[in-house]
Amino acid sequence: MYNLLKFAIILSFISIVLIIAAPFTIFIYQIANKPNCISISIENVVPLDDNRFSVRVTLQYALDITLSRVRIMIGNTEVIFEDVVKGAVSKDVVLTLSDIQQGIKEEEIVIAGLFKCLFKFT
Amino acid sequence: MVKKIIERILIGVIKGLIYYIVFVHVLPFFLDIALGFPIEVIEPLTFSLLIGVFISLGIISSITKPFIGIIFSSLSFMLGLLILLDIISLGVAEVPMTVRGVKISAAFEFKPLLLIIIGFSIIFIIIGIFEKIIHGEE
Repeated sequence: MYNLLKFAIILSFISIVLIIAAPFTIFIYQIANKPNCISISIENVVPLDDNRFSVRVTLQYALDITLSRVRIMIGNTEVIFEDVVKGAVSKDVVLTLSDIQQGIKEEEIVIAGLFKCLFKFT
Repeated sequence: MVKKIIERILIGVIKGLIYYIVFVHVLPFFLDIALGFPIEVIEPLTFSLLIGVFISLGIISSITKPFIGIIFSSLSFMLGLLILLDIISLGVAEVPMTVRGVKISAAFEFKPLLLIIIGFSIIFIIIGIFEKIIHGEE
């Protein structure tokens, strides 16, 4: 009786691990084959005053796995994109001169709401 | 009878508090100070929830029969272990790399997978305990 129960638990363990690990595995496989699949660009820079600029941050994403959240740190300003699918998404933000000078410091990607990848640029 | 029950409940509360203090405060503090592990900050709401869970498990383990009590004691221990793993950020792999001359530090967090492995291990341990109890009774 217990052996059957153990077998059922092992089977469900393997299925759960496969289901949970699949998005991450596919993401890593696709990113390895297409290294330029995620790109961030800052355009339409409009000065508001001496220190502040209105900019459009565009995130281009070319993979099939949905990203639950992409957080980009430009200087000390945080730009968050929720539910990123294949294509391009833009957001208008106000950055200071120091933010623009520092550039992108951090990029955090949450894959399918389960796995988090944090890239820090130094 | 009532006195005995109250006594057991009190023992359970003390047991739960000891588990809570050891796993949430003492061991993380030791790991932080002595071994230099980076410790994640726990929110106050989580703290109060943890006290509640530890105390409940402690009470159940002390008021039930010793054989069943062992299961709840081991559950407390495993919950403590899980908290400890979470606090010391286990399940995060950091890889330094250089792309086009830019130094990048990439951190991959795979906590959900680790939690599933630990969770299933707990289930297996519990089944093992039940198996032994039943074989013992036979």
